[in-house]
Amino acid sequence: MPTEKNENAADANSPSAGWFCGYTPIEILDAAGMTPVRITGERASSGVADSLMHTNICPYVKACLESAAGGKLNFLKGAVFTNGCDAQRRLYDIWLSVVPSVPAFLLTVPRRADDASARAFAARLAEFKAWAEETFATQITDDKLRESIRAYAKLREALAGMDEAREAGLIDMPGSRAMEIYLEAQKMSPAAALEMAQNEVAAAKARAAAGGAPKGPRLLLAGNMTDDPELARMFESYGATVVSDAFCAGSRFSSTAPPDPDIPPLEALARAYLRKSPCPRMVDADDYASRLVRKIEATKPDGVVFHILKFCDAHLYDMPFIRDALRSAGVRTLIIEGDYTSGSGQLATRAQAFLETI
Amino acid sequence: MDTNLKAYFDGLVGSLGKKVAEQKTARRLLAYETGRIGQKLFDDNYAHAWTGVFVPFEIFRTMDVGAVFIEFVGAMLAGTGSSASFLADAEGFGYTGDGCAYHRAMIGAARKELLGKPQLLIGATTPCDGGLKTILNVARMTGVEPFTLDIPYPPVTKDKVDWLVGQYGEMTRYIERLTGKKYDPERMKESARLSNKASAIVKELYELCKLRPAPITSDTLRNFQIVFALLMGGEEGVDVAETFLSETRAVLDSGAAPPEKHRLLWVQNRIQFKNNIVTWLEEKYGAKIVVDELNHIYWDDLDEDNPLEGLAIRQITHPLNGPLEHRLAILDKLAREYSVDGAINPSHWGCRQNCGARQAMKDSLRGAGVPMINLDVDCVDPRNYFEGQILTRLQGFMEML
Repeated sequence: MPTEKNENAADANSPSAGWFCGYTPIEILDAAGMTPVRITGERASSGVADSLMHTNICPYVKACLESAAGGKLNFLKGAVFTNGCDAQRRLYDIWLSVVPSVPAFLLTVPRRADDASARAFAARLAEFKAWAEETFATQITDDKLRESIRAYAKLREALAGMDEAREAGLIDMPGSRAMEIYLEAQKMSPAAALEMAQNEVAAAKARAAAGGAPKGPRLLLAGNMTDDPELARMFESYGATVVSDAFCAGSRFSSTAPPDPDIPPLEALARAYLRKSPCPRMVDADDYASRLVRKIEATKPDGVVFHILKFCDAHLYDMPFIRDALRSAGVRTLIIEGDYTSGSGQLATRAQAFLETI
Repeated sequence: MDTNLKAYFDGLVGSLGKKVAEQKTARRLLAYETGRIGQKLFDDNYAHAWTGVFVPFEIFRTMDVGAVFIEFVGAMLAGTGSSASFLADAEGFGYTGDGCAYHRAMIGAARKELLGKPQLLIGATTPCDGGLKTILNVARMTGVEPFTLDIPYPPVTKDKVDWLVGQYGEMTRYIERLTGKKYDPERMKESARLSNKASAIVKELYELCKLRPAPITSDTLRNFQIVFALLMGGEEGVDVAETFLSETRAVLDSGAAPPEKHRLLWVQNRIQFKNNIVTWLEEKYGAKIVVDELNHIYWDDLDEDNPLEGLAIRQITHPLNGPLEHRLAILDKLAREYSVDGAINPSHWGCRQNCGARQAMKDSLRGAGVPMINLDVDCVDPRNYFEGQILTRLQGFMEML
């Protein structure tokens, strides 16, 4: 697997703003005239991040810090962080001293999804909007915001449709390619991403019409901020078919329901984001496990591969319970703790052994 | 310690009660009152709650809820030399060994029903993800409905305070619904009055510790405020505070303040299992811990006519809540006010919010002229503790001072 991948640079002609956490309403950045670019980290470590944070901090966060410290994120006009987890908020803290030239905003996202929390989140989104207006020297009107909301709703609908078609075997698209599409879509404007996704789906439909459905054991990949399509590619190279995923940067991106057009846009965004397919950071964490089980019931995989980046308390504290939920669902499960580097011989051996059992 | 803790707390309170009656010393009284709180977890006159560490215990007190925070359990198990078996149990269950051992020990204790079964589980989003996840996971294990306080980040604004006060209202209704205990605003006023009284005394106590030499030893205020929070809002909290103050003042008046060559700031929590670090620092280097980061009254008095608002502001402005900037400012302030020469951060393994901040804290304190050392210790898990290595590192640090 490649180790030097860093595809953060978006369209060179478009000013970009970085974001990290799936609870960032990127519609606000788009409405401010920015291309919202989801930051993925530098897989090759120079050790700089280790000197800034302890070794037991999320490797994705440290990889982002590595990119930032190496000057690879200086193209950003601004960056939005959240309190998604302890590691993310510390990323914000350290960013301030590592990349002082890129303005940063810390968005606090509630952990409950009730009405009072949505109102509180809407108030924080108003602060986020004000920061974006000042930082990017623009005015975000309600009309602009509604336009961005519609654009992202269309994109999410297209991506969700792509997932459904894959799960049903209606298109010929490897899971690794789907992961790439998701990642690319989160680094470009919603209009460009929509066009790209639609073209990819059309081509995959044509391939399916020309050939047979993919064969091999059907896998569902799940986990936290696993953004490396090489993981799926490795399983595919051993004959498996990755039919679906439940990654933060994967299908959970398209799980945000279209915000209600009949209420003020910030309030609509607040409600929609808090009620998306949840990260285990959210208080109603059972919803995370139950949604996963529902996804398993819908996609009927032969096995589930849980790939979790190390030191993610939100996920790892839950693992005994998620493991039990998956066992109850009667599905074979492989749990891997990753370190945000690409694959290893050990991982390949475990993958092969797992596939032999299903 | 593998049996139910009721007998342990009964024994502790019984023996300490006698000793307190013979001679009331501050540490003895604090341990006695802490034991009494433990007893309430098994007393039918009280509702039983396991909570996050920074929650408003004054409210629980007014509703006759016996509450302990989950890290208290991990610390107690480590202090009694029995954390290892509970940690191993949780790990055997599948709990990650890379997480916080305070929380892992709690999971092991809950699995072994060491504290019986709680009626209430009240978590908070501050100070860390792991604490809240532990509350939620204990809820899964016990079937007890949990409640979460979602603490907004500073700066304080009216909408944030209103939101949190609204959550307090929800919380009291949750307690009423699950236990039948009633929230009484008049009792809350009294609790706020006593909380303010205790805070004022503790502030005075801390002022004495700023003197040179400080009229305390390194262990006089070990784990003080974090445990003292459990007593806030009650007469016993005032009593404990007054005892500490009078004892410290007596040391000062008698001119018997322990000598000190170096004054130290301890960052976050102490190492909870038996170790010789503090004694070694005192004896070999004349170094004294004059302030712990968490021994700090940073809030204003509660308005007795509107105490919930003050509690909300207290939670929002907690130094460990929100961006690091606020915490760094507090650390600098403590270092300056207590005239410390150096700082020690155990850098508790598995504590993301601390470990992620440690270099920033080091840089910030260095900017204030105070060097800091990170020890890389798991404060609850003694299994990987090698004191010789720690002392060697501390030796280098102290010689540099």
